[in-house]
Amino acid sequence: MADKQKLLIVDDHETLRELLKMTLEFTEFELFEASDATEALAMVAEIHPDVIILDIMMPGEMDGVEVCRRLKANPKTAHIKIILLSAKGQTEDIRVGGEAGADAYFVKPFSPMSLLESIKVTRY
Amino acid sequence: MTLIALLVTWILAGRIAKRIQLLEDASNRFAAGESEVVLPLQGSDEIASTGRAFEQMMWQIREKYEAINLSPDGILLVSSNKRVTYTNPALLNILGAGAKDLCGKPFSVFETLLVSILDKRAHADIKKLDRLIELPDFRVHTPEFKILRCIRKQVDSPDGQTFSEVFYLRDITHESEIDRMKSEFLTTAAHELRTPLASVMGFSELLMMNDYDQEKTRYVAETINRQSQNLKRLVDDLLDIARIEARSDGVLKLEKGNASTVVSECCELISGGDKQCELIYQPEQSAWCQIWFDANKLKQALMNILSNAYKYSQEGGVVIVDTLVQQDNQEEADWFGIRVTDQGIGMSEEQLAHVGEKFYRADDTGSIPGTGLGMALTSEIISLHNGHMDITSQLGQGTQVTLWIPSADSKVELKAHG
Repeated sequence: MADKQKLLIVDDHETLRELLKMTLEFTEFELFEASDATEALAMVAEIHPDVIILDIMMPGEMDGVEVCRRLKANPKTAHIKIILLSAKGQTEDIRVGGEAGADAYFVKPFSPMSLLESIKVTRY
Repeated sequence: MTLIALLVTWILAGRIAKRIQLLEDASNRFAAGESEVVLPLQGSDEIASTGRAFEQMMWQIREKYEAINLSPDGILLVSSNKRVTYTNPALLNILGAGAKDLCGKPFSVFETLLVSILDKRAHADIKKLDRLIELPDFRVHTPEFKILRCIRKQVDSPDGQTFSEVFYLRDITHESEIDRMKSEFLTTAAHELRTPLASVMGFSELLMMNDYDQEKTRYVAETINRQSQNLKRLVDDLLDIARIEARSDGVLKLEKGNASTVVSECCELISGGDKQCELIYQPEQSAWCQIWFDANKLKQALMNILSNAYKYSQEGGVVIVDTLVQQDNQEEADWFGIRVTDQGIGMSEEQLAHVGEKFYRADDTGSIPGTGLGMALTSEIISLHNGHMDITSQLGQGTQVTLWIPSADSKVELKAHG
């Protein structure tokens, strides 16, 4: 069997990262985490994740949408499945996320089980 | 006999003609804009009663004229031959110096003025007043930025052949700004509620779907509980802010005293927490004076400042509380200050500029609990006491906050008496 798939969790709230880790703990993923955009980009270059769960509003210059845009624009990282996760749930926000190339968009609060479902969908 | 009759008739006719002439003069002069005219009011004949009716009409017109003059909304009249015949004082306030000499000028001057002050970015395509009138509102720089609403009404001439026009301009800058702030506040509040709610919903679902052991179940339950408390705090703070801003419980329960109990109670409460911070407070070395204050509200304000000082301090940090009295010669007032100094993470100038904004948090990682509403709330409470808040801070050095409240014998009047 090939190496385990890697999943990167990016959120500035520790509790939310914990929630995502516990949601994914019985899956085949090897889990990694980052707490802001800069750290996330550095992790991507280092671990080459297959899936990223990405929060939109984070402290710092760059937000999740920008991270998504950059990764999707780069041929080396464009294949990574990106799931945006945000407290911003207005149609406009979801449209911006789609334009940035996100594969799925989840609005907080979300159901962990449907998030799991969506990862399975985006995996295959 | 006939001669006498003729003479009497002639004298009477002359008198009547003279009084009718007076009435005609008066109406012509009034129509031309004069306000003081002589009317034939003596007697009980038809001419006198017409004169009195005319006087009544003049009075009513003058009342309406005063009402227009007092209106906070701008009003401009344009005659049928397209000249500005009247502008009220509010119009000059709204449109600025450019509207000063509009009266008597062609209507096109008014149109040019309006188009010239338009915000070029918002209304690049608008060159004519007709287009402008179709808008619900428009942005101008007079040079002061304003949002205006304009209504135009035609008044047909008696023969229906021509018309004059009334232009009505309202400055809606303030109400638009309040609307914008309200909706921004609601959006942000909803976002802020979503994060703890995501934990509550997510962890409880995990608990339902998985067979966790006792230790893990306990951990998840604790997390749900902690996040519910965050939610509760947010909702409480939001309600507090709404109440204070609406001034619905704006009536402070005021008492007169030196507030030393409030300060020492807050210090005891905060140092009872589990964080390893040292609090230094020496009441005997602090200065006191009599102030009017609401003990509960002041306690709430000071607790916010103290818990910030604690939250943003490292372990083993020191928080110093003291009070001071300062003279203000200009306002002939003494000011009582409660000063909280910490040696915590401090704030940059940029961060400092945002303090007091709702939901603004110097730490946004979620590792330091809080709702981002504390400072906004504190600042509201202090301003209800007619006081103000001073904040100085340096990144990495710490922060100092002073809550200033006027002394009880100063001339600064309190906004709300209990």
